[in-house]
Amino acid sequence: MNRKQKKILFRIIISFVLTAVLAVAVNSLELSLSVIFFLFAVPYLVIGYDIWIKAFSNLKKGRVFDENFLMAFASAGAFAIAILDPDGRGDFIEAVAVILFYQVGEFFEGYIVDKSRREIDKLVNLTSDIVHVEQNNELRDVDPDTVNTGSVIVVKPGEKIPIDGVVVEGKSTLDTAALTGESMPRSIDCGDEVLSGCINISGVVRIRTSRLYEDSTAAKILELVENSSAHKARSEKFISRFARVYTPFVCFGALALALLPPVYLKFMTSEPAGWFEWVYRALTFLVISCPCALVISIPLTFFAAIGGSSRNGILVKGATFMEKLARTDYAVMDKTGTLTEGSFCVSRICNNVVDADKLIKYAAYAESSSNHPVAQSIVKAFPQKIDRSLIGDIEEIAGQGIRAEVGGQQVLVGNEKLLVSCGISGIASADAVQAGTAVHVAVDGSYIGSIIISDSIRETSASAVGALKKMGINRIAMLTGDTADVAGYVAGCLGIGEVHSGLLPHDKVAVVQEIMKGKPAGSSLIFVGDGINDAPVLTVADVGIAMGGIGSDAAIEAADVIIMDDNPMKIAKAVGIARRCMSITWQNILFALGVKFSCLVLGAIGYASLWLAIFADVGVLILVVLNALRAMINVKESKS
Amino acid sequence: MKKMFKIAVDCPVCAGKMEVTAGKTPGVKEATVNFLSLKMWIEFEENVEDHIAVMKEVLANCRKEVDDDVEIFFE
Repeated sequence: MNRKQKKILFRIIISFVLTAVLAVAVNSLELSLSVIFFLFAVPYLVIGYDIWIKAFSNLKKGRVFDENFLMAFASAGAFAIAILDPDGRGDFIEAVAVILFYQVGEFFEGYIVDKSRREIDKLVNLTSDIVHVEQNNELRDVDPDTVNTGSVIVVKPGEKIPIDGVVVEGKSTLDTAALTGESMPRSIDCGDEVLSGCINISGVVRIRTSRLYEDSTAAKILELVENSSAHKARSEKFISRFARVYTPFVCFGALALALLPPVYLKFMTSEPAGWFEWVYRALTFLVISCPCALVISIPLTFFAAIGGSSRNGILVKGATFMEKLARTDYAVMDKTGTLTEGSFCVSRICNNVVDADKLIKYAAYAESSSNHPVAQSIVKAFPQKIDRSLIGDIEEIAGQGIRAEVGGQQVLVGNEKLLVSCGISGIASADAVQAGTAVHVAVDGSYIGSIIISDSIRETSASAVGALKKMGINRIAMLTGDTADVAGYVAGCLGIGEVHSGLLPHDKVAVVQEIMKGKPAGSSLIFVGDGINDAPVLTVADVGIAMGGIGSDAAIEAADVIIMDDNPMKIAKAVGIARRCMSITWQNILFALGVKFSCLVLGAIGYASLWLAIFADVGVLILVVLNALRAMINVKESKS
Repeated sequence: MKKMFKIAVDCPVCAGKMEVTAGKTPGVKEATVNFLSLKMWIEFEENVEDHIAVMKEVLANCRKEVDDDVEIFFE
């Protein structure tokens, strides 16, 4: 609680106690009306003096629909009725309560928003306030903004890396959870690149900064999450438009209610006008004229959801994408690097007439000096050290493979073309090699088997596709530049029905545009890619999701949602968080509007007292703000 | 040139008004205010040298147009 809040709390308590004492005293003592009025004026002024000051200063600026003015007016009206009404309809306690509980509501609003602001801040707490910079062999603590690129900074255990850079001295482990949501610590050593926002766990490290503070990952992410006003959600815009017409509407309603019925009764019928009754009803209108509950709860919900998802390593660039993400009904994913690892490895051996290990050994020896990615994946699959003295002449045949002498034997490793050209037959048929690139091996003129090299599917890809389907997103398509065979195999493994293969980057854009033409209005298409090659497609889709975006500026620029690590499960999680955020938003809108309109109706027909209006106003505010915070809290729970 | 300033403001409606008021101030190209993180981002016009003078103007305008007790911390 800050000083302002403490002061107002103090005033609330004093005013409350005074009012309670007076309420008892007035009942037991016989006092004249004017004495009672002056007695109640004391707690009223204690709690309400600043509202009158603000009301007048706003009135001078020509702002009639200012909430301070409305509250001042409503409470003054209640006082007037308490004094003047011969039937004793109003009472002084009520008049004080209007202002008292308005202040209680304001106090709670401020307190809860403050508290949630700190909670959310903790979720996206990536930046550091000071940096230890090494200058002339001594350490100085400076503002991160002032550190130049190329400076050497020292990060002690337990501190956050303040600025992106490269380790120049020291070994340690990093907790990257704040960036990626992954709890697995990462070890770092000299020469490793480190990103700001990670927490240094074990040792002291010296880092040469490679960026300015404001260009560093942590500062960028923070700005992205916080400065998202340009991407206001439709529901947010709806509410601010609504707020602009709501207050004037209710105020004119109050005016009409105070004037029209009594005038009608007086001049058109024989009934008494009942001025006080109608003015009293009009006052209940004024009390609920402030749309605060809605205005505050909706951005708070989005903010909480954005904070919560960034804790899970999912960055959402603003409320509008949260909204679109929630309406996802078509998911298009890139294959390489998204659903698959994006790097080659030996997936299986087939048609081998010798031991699989032996086959790999021949191939690895032959390929050991090549730096072709396929060759390297074969070498990686051979667990032992390669004895280079066994390797004789090597001849690399471009686009075909390698011919090498290994331990005195002639080894051929390559595609069908190579082996056929050397007069070797009996090579594995095409259907056996559908899942990747086949590398055939022949020793001393005879075929001994094939090694299938493929880009391995990520462990969580299948469950990620399953999770999306479970959420009702059944239309899932996969795009790839790879051949139809490989694409079909991967899609089959993952349970994806729609496959577009053999695409160049601009073809992908065309395919996504084509799909988007056919989708129902109001639903969204998400495209998931690696953020580097897929930038154009990311911008075309309703929501572009970049995977493995950590440290990649290109991905951060092009995508609307960035998944910091490369776990496809996070796609479903992001959609889940977004849907929860939207359902909370609509709950709040409907609940707050429902209560306000019921109060208006009940007030108009004379069933709602000022008390009910006051509690409805404050109560709704507190409930919707607490509800908004669930957007963040739930995310925390589901993590554990 | 884009800079971030911490602010103090009481309600989201006022924060929205601050955004509009700051954006209209001469020397400011674009202003965004986030009520929940209590921060204001100001993108200054290219030719503006004295950012502090612009911010003083922004604060004065906000106090006049929005509320007397808003605060922008720029020094």
